[in-house]
Amino acid sequence: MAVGLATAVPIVLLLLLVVRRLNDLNIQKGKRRTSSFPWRRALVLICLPLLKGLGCSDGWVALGVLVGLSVVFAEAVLRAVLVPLGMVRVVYALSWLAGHPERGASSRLGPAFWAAQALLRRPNEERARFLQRRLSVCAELGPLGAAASALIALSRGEAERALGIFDGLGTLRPGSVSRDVAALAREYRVLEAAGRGNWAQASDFADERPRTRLTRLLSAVASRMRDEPGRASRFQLGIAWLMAPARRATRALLRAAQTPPPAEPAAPNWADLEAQAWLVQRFPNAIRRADVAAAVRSLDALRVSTPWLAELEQRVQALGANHTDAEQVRSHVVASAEADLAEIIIEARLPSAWLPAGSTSTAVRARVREGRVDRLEILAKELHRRARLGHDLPEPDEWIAWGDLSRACAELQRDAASAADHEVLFRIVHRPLWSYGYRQAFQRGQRALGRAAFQLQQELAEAARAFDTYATIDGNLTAARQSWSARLKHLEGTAFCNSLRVRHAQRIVGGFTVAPILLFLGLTIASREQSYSAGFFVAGFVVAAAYVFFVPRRVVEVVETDDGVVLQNESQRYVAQRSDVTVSALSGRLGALGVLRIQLARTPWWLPRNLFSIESNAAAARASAARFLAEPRQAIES
Amino acid sequence: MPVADRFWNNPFFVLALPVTATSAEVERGAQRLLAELSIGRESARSYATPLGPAVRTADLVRTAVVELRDPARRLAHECWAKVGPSAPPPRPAPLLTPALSRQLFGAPAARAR
Repeated sequence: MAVGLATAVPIVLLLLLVVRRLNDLNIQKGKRRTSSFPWRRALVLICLPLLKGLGCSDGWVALGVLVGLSVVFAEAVLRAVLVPLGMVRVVYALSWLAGHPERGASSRLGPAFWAAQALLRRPNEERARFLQRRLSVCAELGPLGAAASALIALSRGEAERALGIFDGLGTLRPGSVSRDVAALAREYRVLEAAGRGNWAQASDFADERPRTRLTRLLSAVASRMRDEPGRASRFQLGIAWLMAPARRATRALLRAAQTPPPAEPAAPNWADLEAQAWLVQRFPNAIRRADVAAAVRSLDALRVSTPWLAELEQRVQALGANHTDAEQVRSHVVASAEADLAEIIIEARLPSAWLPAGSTSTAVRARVREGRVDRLEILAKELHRRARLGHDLPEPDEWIAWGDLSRACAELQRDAASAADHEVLFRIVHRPLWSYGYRQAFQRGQRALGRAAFQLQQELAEAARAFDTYATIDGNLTAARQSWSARLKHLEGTAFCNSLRVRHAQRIVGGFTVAPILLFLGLTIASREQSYSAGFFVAGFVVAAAYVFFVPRRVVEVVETDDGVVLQNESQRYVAQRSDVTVSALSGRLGALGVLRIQLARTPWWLPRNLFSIESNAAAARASAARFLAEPRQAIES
Repeated sequence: MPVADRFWNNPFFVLALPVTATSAEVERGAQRLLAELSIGRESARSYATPLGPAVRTADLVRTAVVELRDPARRLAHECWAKVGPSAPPPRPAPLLTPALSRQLFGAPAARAR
C-alpha cells in the first residue's frame, strides 16, 4: 500500500507537470486558453479509480469526486461561487486551475485578474494592496494585468482611471487581447456610456465584438431608446433580457425600453440661433444627427438672410454705431456659431459625416479636422518625446495614454474622405508610433503595447498606401508578437560577467538536465523490484523535478546595452530596466568562485527573480558588482 | 470660449434686459442689480437662460455692462440673446443608475468624462 501510494503520487504529479507544460506551450503558440488535450478531465479520470483501487474509504472517494469536479469545472466554480463571494486570496490561490486567460501572460496575471474581479465584489484596501504587490513584480502587465489594475482602481473608487484603462484596452484589435479582457472592457464602457444617457455611444460599443449577454441586452435597449430605423423589436428585446444576467435588476430597464419615451421634436432649422441652443442643451450625451443638421441649416439660412441683415442694419442705426458694419457683425456671429458647432462635434466625438452638405458644413468640417489634427499632433509628439527620452509611465498609465492617441487616430480615420487625408494622418503618427512601439516592445518589454502601436501603424500605412514602410512595420510587428526574445549568439555592450564562462556553465548545467531524468527513470525501475524504499523514491523524484524546472534557466549572461540590462539564459533573452536590477557578489560564501547574484524587481513569466552569473574569480565578481552599482550607463538618444 | 458661455454669460440674460434696452436702461438695470446683490436679495441671485437658470454675481453684472458699452459686441450679443429662455425640452434622467451599474458590473460606472 505504501509503495503503491508512493508510486501513484509521483506519477500523478509528473503527469500534472507534463500536461501543465503542454498547456503552457499551446498557449505560447497562440492557441486558446485551454489546450486541445483535456488534461484536467484526464487527471481526474486517472486519480479517482486510483483512490478506489488503493482501498480508500467511500468518504475519501466522495471527497475526491468533489475535488475532481471542482478541478474539471474550475472556471465555472470561480465565476459562479468564489468571485461573487469576493474571496480574493482563495481565488488568487486556486485560479490557476481555470487556465491562463491570456496566452503568453505571466502566471501571476491570470490569478490577479480573477482575484481583482472578486475584489470588486467586496472592496478592501488590504486585499487591493495584496493584488497590487503581485502585479508589481510582473515585468509586463499586458492587457490582462492592465484590466486587473483597472478593477483594483474601481475597487478604490477611482472610476475615471479605470475608464481610461478600459478605453485603452478597448482600442485593441480582436485577437491581440483575450476574450475575457475584451468583454470586461466592453461591458464597462457600454455601462458607462449608458449611465451618461449616451445611447448612441453605448450602442456603438455594444455592437463591437466580442458581445456578451449584458452587451446584447444594452445594445437592444440602446437601439430602442434612440428611436432610429433598424431598432430591436419587443420580442428581440425580451429574448436579450431573458438571456442577460441580473434579470430582476434589469426589469426596469426592460420596461422602459419596451415603451420608449415619445420621439423628441427636432430642433428648429429656421434662420436664427435657436437650433444652436438645442445643440448646447443636448451636449455632450444626447445629440442626434437631426439636431446637428438643423443647426447647420439654420446657419446656412442666417448666412444669406436678408431680413436678418436688414434688422442688423436697423440696430446699427438705432445704436448710433455708424462705424460698425452690419455685414461684419453677421459674419462674426456666424463664424462664432461655426466655431461652437465644431467644438461640440470634437468634444462629443461625433463623426463629421453627420454634417449635411452646404457652405456651413464645409467650414465646420475644416475646423473639426483642424482641431482633431492638432490634438493628434500633441498626443503623438508627447508619445514620441517620452519614447525618445525614456520618460516612461507606469504601465496602466501607458494604456490610458495609448487609448487617447488611438481614439484620436480612429476619429480622423473615420472622417477621412480621401487618400490625401489618410496620408496626412499617417505622416503625423508614423515616426511617433515607430519610436513608441520600439521603446515599449523592445526596450521596456511591454510587448502588448508595442504590438498595439505597430498594428495601428500598419493599418494606417495600408490606408495611406505607404508601400515603402510595409516591410519594416511588418518586421517590427513580427518581432513584437514573439512572446520573448530569442537568445543572441553575441551580446554587444558592457559585460558584467565572464561571458565565456557563463556559456560553459550553461552548457554544463543544461547537460545535467538529462542526469536527473535518467536517475528518476532508474529509480522507477528499481522501485518495481522493491530494492529501494518509497521515501527514497519520492525524494529522488522531487530533486529531479526541482532541478529540471528551476536550475538551468537561472544561469544568465549580464550585459548592459543602450536598450537596458540584457539577461540571457540558455534559451531566452530579457531586457530589464536598470532600476529593476540589483547585482551583488556571492564570492564571500563560495571561496574563490566568482559568482554573481542578480535580483530582479520585475520579471517576465518565464524568468525567475533570482538569477546567477559567473565571473573569472571572486575579485572580478566583486569588481563587477561594484562597477554595476557605480556606473549607470547614460541613455543614448536616437 | 466654452460653447455654452454665449448663453450662460450673455449680458442681456445676466442683466435680465430686452435686446432693445437703451444704454441708460442698461446702466440703471446694472446699478439696481448690484444694489440688490449687495443686500443679498434672493431674486437677484439667479437669472434665466435658454439652458436653464444660472447664478448671478456682481462680477458677471459688471462684465455684462462693459460688454454692452461696445456697439459691435453688443450687436453680437443681441443675436445670441434672441433665443428665448429654456427653448429645448428638458432631458429625461438616465435609465441606467449607478446602483444598477453596480449590480451588473460590481462597481458604478464613471461619471461624465
